[in-house]
Amino acid sequence: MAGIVARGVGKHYPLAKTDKLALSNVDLNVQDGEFICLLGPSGCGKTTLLNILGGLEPASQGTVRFTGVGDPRRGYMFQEPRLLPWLSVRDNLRFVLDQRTRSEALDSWLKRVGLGGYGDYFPAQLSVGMQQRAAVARALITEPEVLFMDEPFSALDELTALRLRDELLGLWHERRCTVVFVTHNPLEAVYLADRVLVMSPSPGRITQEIRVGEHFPRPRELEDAALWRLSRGVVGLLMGEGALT
Amino acid sequence: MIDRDAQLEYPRRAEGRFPGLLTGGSLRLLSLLSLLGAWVVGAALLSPNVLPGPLETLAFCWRELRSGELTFHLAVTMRRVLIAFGLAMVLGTVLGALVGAFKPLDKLLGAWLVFGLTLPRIVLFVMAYLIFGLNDTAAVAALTLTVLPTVIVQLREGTKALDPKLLELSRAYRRPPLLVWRQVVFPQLLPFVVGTARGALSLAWKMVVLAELLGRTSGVGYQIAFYFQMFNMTGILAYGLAMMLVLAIIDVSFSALTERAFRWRRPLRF
Repeated sequence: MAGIVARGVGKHYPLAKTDKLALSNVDLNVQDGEFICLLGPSGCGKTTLLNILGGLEPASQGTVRFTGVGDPRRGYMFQEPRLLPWLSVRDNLRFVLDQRTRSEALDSWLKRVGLGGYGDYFPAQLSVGMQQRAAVARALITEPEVLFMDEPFSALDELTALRLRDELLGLWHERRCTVVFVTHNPLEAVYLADRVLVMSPSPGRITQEIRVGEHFPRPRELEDAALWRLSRGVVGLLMGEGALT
Repeated sequence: MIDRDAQLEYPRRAEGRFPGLLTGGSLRLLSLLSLLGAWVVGAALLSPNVLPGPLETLAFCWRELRSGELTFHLAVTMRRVLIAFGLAMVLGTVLGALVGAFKPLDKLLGAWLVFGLTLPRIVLFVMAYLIFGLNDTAAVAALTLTVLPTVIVQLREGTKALDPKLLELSRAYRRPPLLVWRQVVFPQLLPFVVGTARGALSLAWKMVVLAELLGRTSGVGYQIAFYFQMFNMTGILAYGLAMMLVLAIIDVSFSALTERAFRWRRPLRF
C-alpha cells in the first residue's frame, strides 16, 4: 500500500510578462489508506496540487514521494466522466487494463456500480450520473493503491451525488486505498474525509487542517447536526472568519 | 378523478398538409425526376448536336458497354484514381498528423502547403508530363499531388482538435502509446479522415479527366477529348454520365460506412 509525502511543493506558470504562482511551499503527509479532502475556493490550486501528487504535472519546486513499496498503482476520477465516447462502457473499463481482460470480470464491476446490463452501451446512451458510475468502476477496477479524485460529483444533481458518495465510501471501506479528493463543497469534504486540508488562493497553500476522523467515527450520517455545524464552520473559515477550534 | 392514461396522450406532431406523400423517399424521387425533366426539356429546346436527350445518351452508353469500350476506359480511369487517392490519403494522413502535432513542422511546411493549395492544377499536370513524359506515372503523380495538400490541411486541423483531456486520461492510466493511438487518437481523427476521403476522392475523380484529356491515350478523359474532336456530344455526355454514376455509388457506400463507423454518436431515445 502507499502513503504520500510532499515537501515544499510549488508551481508557477510562465505568463507573458511575469510568472503566475499557483502553489507555494505545500507540505503534506497522507497516511496509507487515509481519505483526505483538499477543500478551497476556485483558483486556490487544488487541482494543480492533485495533478502534481498524481504525477500528471511536474512541480516547479519541492518533491513528492510515495511511501510503501515502489511506484503505487493509481486510479483517477475527473470532474467529468471522461469516458471514450466511441468505446462501449465495457471497453472503457478494459481500456485501463490488460486488453485481454475477460468481459465477465468487467461486468462484475459494472454490476457493483449499478450498471449491470449496460456493458454494451455507448457513453452517449447513458445519463451523466450513469457515466460517472462507469468512471468510478474504471478508477477502482485497476485496484489502485492511491486514488486521485478531482471534484468527481460536482457536475451531478444532488440526489445522484448523494448516492455516488455513499457507493464510493462503501467501495473504499472494502479496499482501503489512499484517497486524495478535491472538492469545493464543505459538507461533502467533512462527510467523506478523515482529514480536510483547507486551501487559500494567491498563491495556493494549505492554511488549515481539520481532523474530522478524530471526532466523527464512520459510518457518518449526512443529516448529523454536528457534522453540518462543522461544515458551516468550514464555510466561515473559507470566508475568512478565522480558524476553527 | 384524474384519468392518468388520458394525461399521457401527447398531441401528435403535425406531419404537413400531405401526410404520407412528401416523405424523404418521395422527395428524393421528385428531385431526380425534376432533373431528368429539365434534361428532357433542354434537349427538346436545343439542337441534338448541343444537348442530346436522355434516351439517346443511354442508348449510346449501352452500345459502348456492349462493345466493352466503356468498361475498359472506366476501369483504366478508376485504377489511376484509386492509386492516386490511396497514396494521397496515406501520405496526407501521416504528414497532416505530424504537422498538426509539431508546430515547427507546421511553420516549416506552411509555404509548401499554400503553394500546393493555390497552384492551378493544370500547371501541375503539364509539369508532370514534361518531367516524367506522357505516361501513367506522370498522371498518377500529378493527381496525387493535386489531392495531397487538401488531405494534409484537413488532418492537420483534426490533429490540432484532439481532446487534451482524453490524452491526459491516457497518461494518468499510463496506457501504452500504440493503444493510445488506436483507441484515443485515431477515433478522433476518423471523422476528418472520412470527410477528407470523400472530398479527396471526388476531387481526384474530377481531375483525372483533365489529366487524361491532356496527355493519355486511354481513360474516360481521353474518350471525352476524342468525342469532342468528333463533335459528338452524345459520346461526351455518355462518358460523363458513366463517371457520375460511379462517383454516386462510391459516395453512397461512403455514407453507409460513415453511418456504421459513427454509430456511437447516436444516442438512444428512451
